[in-house]
Amino acid sequence: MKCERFDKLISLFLDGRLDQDKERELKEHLSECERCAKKLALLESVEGRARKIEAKEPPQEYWDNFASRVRGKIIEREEKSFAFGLKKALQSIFSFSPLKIKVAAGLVSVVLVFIIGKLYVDYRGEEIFPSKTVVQKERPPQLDITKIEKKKGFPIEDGRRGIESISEKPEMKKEPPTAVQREEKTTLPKKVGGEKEVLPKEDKAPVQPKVSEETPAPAYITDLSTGVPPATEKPPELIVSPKADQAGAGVEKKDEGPQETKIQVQEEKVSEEKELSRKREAGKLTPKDVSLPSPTTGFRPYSADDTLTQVNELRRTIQVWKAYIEENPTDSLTNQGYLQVAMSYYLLAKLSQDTTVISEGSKVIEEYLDQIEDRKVKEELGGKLKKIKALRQR
Amino acid sequence: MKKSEGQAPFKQQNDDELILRAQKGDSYSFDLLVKRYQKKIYFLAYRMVKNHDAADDITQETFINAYFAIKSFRTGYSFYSWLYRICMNLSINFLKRQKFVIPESQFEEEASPLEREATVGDPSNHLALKELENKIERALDLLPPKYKAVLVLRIYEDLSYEEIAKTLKISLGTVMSRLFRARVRMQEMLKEYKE
Repeated sequence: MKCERFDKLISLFLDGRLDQDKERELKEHLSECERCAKKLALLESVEGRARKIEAKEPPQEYWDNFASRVRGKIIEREEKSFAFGLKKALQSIFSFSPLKIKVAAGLVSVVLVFIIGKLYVDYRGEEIFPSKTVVQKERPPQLDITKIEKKKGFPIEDGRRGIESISEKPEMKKEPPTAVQREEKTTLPKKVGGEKEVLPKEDKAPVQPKVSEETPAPAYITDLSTGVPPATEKPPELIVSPKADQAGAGVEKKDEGPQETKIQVQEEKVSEEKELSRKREAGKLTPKDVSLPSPTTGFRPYSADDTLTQVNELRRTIQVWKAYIEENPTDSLTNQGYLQVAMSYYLLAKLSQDTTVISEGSKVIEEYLDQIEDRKVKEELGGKLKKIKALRQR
Repeated sequence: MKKSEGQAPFKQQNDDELILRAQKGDSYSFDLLVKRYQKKIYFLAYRMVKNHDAADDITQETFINAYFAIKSFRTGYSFYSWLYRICMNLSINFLKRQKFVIPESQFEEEASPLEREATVGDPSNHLALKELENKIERALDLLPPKYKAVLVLRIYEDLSYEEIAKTLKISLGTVMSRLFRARVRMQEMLKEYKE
């Protein structure tokens, strides 16, 4: 074991890698151990002899030509590598693997679909993706009051039936527009009239709408048909607004007048909203501001999120009309107020499914029935009362 | 291959100058480098493979590899050490491939038992010395390539442990242990000369 330890030291000693202490230690051991001393002597002899072994040197000619031979091989390799690279490149270009074909086919299909789609959209884009201006043109269809009046002779029936039929079909998911929306729609004649002013003078020739000429229907009836609520004091201008009259637009001419841009509509909407909120804060809200929707103004799609708004709107409508009836019990609009209150209660009861609302509505309508002298209005209110009571039974 | 005008004589140009020019595509400069180191590399290869043709191939291959990789060589380092490394790797790979091939030296005429008896124990004798040289070379040939590489670099090239480690890309401890084991094997193969 001891000698084995010194074997490594002998190797290091031969290479001059031993420090002084180790070297002294080794020398002491070598003086005592003949075997290790012989090992060292052998290795020294062998390595010394090996260093003296001379390799057979090739002739000078070999060395003279060596560099040129290396150069020749380098050139050969370069040519080979270039040719090889070229061959590989050509092979990769002209070789078709199933995967390559699939990928290429997929890419070509995508590009073709894109190109065809682009061409189609460019060709028929207006039809497929109508621009906002085009959308603006397509207003909800409105009922032609004059025709209704001519046909039925009593437009209130149609108007009311329209409201009821919509409210009674839950699958239609319609809702009466909010006050703001109604405001926007009810002011349509104004906008039309306003833009008519831009037109040449001959276009502005006032044409009295047939509504007011032919059928002087009761004010509340007309109001229900158009959805334009009355003013508080003076007799309401429910048939058409003065501006609409000037423009000769009326309900019939709405599609013929110039169309507003979206920006204009938005601006008007914002200003109307501001006006409405200002009135609300000042407590000067009138039935005009919260009037119920009319079948002539159309409905926007119903949204569940709007339920609360609807309920609030209906409550406010009831409140305002009640106040109006109290203040003006003999006014020409009072009869319409009765109907508005009754319809609002009915819709509210239907939306809220609240028995207290049903009870309240029934009670209020019963009170109104006692006050009303007009037979038709009384019948209408009686019908509403029945419907409200039917809701309770459901 | 024409000598560039204005260049210093061959011996005055240092490796870095030649390498820089060779890196720029000057084949003449590379040829000068080949001429400068061809013998050293050949003998290193010959020590390893003990065969002229194989040594010639390895030497040529060493310079060809150096030529194609010269752009990656950073001037300031020893070009010769770089060539060492390439040559040793090629030689070791050659020896690994020749694992089951008996070295050329094995076929050399061996001394007769009578001669051996006459020469063993009498190193002063020329025959005995020749015998010893043959035995040493044979023992070296029989070493595994990794042990042979360290011993050749240490004995014939007289490289330090650090240089061997750098050339073969091994640690200093590995160099020490491989040298020790190589020597132990050499002793075993040459133990008849102990007595």
